[in-house]
Amino acid sequence: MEATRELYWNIGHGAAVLLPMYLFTFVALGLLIWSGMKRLEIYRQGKPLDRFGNRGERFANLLKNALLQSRVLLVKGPGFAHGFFFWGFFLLFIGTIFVALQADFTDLFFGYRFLNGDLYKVFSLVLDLAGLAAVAMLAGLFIRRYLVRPKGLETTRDDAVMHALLFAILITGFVIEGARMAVNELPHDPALAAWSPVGLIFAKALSGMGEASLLALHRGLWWLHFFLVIGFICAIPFTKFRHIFTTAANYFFADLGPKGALVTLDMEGDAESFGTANLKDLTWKDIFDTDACTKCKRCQDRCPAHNTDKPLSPMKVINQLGEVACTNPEANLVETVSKDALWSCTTCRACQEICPAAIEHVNKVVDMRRNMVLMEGEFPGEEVMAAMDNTEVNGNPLGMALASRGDWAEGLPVQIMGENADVDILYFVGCYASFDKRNIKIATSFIHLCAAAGIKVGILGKEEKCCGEPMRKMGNEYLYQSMATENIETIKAYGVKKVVTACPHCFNTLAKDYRDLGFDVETEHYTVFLNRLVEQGRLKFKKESFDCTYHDSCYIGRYNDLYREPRALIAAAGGTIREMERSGAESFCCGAGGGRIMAEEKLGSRISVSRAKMAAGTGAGMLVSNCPFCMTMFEDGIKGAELEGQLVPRDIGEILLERLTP
Amino acid sequence: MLVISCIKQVPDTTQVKIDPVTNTLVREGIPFIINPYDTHALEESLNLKDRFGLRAVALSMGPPNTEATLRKAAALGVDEAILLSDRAFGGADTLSTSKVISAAIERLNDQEEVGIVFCGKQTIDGDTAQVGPGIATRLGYTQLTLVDRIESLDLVKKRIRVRRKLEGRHEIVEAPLPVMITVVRELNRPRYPTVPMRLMALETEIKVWDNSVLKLDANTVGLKGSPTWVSKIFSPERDKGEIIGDGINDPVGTANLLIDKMLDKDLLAV
Repeated sequence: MEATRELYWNIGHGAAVLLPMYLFTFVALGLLIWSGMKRLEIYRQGKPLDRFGNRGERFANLLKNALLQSRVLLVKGPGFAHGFFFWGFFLLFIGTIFVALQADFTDLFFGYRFLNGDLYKVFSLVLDLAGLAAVAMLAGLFIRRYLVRPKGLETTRDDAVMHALLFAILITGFVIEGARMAVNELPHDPALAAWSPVGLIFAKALSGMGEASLLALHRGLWWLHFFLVIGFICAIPFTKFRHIFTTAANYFFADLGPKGALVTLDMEGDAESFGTANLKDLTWKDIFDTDACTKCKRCQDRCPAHNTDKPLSPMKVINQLGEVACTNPEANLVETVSKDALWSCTTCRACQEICPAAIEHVNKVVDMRRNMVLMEGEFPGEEVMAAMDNTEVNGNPLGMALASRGDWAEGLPVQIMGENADVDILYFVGCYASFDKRNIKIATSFIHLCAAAGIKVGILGKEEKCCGEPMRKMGNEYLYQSMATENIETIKAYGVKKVVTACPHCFNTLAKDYRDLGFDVETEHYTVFLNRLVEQGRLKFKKESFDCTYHDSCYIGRYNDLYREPRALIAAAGGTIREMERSGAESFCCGAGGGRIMAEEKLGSRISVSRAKMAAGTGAGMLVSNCPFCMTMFEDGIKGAELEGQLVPRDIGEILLERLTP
Repeated sequence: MLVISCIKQVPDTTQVKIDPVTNTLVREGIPFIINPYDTHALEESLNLKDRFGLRAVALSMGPPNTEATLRKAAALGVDEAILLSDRAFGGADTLSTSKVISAAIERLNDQEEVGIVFCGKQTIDGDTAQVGPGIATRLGYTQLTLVDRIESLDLVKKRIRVRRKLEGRHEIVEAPLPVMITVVRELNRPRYPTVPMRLMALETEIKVWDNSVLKLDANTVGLKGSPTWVSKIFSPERDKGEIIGDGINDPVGTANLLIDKMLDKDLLAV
């Protein structure tokens, strides 16, 4: 006897079954499509934005992240549970399509059956195991949500409905299979039954019932199972089930531009309003993002502001925008989200990097800040306004005299471009390394390292202005652009071939943001530049082994994916890194990003203190970083955490210089 | 009714150094700012504009590049910005400066009644604190100096009540309009210009009134009309101090040492 089963066994395959079945199916699908179309109106409240170009790359993104669950799997535990549940349920869906394809199409019209023989055996086994995986993972997720109850995981009626529906669909499926097998395979073809191991367990459990009861149970549950599935389809638009479509689509619509790029506003055009205050200021993609959110809280778990009791949760921001889009389109978004929440963001990108739905949080926050700053002249505090004024007058937020910007370099082997522009690289120093006593050491060590490798370095000196990054992230696009255009003109005039920065904020700004303003000079962070010199053998170090921990700054790590080079440099100097739990793409911001370097941290506890404690927790006595802002924050955070003497903040350049062999 | 703010463009003196050889100010590369006290005068004029619908006018006397400062005032929201600039006004001391500004205020008063003139309590480059009172005297306005709060303004009765910040005490005074008020920093928190206002300010006409408009006797203004002039600028010499004790290892002992020293020198009394 060839291995197969009779499809629609005990149900019948006449019009009395097929008609209502397909009728309900089409009605449910119709409802799904209709709701989807209605949903489009909500997205259309936003401004246009082109996220349709490069379809190939977009489809690849979609397939990789939806089918392979790449982003979901970034978090183990619940990520794997979701992944295996998805794959299980997806296989069951494919299996059902096969069944319908054979019974209601190929067999019905052409007498062709493919679900038989070895293929059927494999089909049976795979679907049984898929169902088992789905049930097990769903149970795991259920336990997590309802018994373990992780902090911050918001559970609503949606979650109850979703868990109940999925459980009911999966369990009724197995009971139906068990009832069928108890009647036919178990007594007549036990060898075939073994290919449905899970069904077999149910069949054995049910085999005590009489055949008539089994047939009635089978038929009753078959229809129940069917209507549960119809219920599932109908529930998609009205519950978080919608993420099946919206999240998948969000992978397609993901930003393909440079990581973390913000829109460069046209400050001189006819725009009457800048930044985001109302729903109509958002793009359709911003609104679509809110529909892709599944409230998994991964962003919130990693948000440095949220983790230090500040009133910001990236998830909440997204949900609040979604709420406005759906129920109250006239509401003021800044008021809805709250100014304190918006000012708390360090633009560290931890939320965006981990988001399994590829939601873009940071640009929304900055756009709302832009509205506060550009349209209302508002800042989180007077110190920030003073920093803005200082930048406008002196080209740096510290209020130091602009003419003294190059004073630190006196006596060092470095040329002022205005005096001699014959250089290999232009070192864009940045404000902190120019004026801040502690950070001048970073600049100095970079100069000495370059000199040792025979690199001729130039600086702009008093012609250099702040890159504008902190102002831009605070929302002051106007001041950013005025700084940027001055810097670009100055650098271009010297015909510079290559710019190197020691500040990740300057680096990200010159290497990416300035491109929109016509800057095209190659720009590198010093870790990449120095690492190349080391690899070329132009810099050599005494191998004195030492222990340290390394802090990935946000703008070198998450924004630019530079995780290898800084570590390679530390290793080249003989360092062994004791990694913090939150390192690499999961690194925890020092608290200075997003222009917060200019602001007092008045709400919650201090981010830098939290990070200093994490670093001290590794047992290493040295905290190495690659950023003047981080350095400033750690100097502070170490004092705040009372770790003076136990933990010393160092810059990679300083470590290298100390171990340099002539 | 007009509310006028008198503002001055000054070099950022925190950055100014004195050339030890020539004893002159080294001004190369030093940015200009609005005299910090004047930003509060300007802000208060805008507050009164917002609250009472007065028309805010900013006045500044200086060389043609002072236009930048007035444009900034326009970006902050003044209705009219006037630059008092003429070669004849150059080199003015506080007397001839207040003469020019008073003439301009009188001229404005001919068109629309002036209610309040705000000045910063002093400038950070001249530090005389004389121009505000000079204007009040010349115009016969009541002068209210060192004001840190506007208590009330009654436009019907034309009276203003303000709080003056004095050494260790406050004084509340009331006066009939028009008044000249000099302000201290505690008065308000200057606003930040919005971008639409900045863009508008780029188009704003900055009126320039020279002596053909003010028609002052050329011998009474500028250097010629100035009875005082700066004969020399120098950094005062200071005796080098000494390091006493060891503050890191013995803070208490060092503090005691310091107190003894100060008692010795009559800087402290028991």
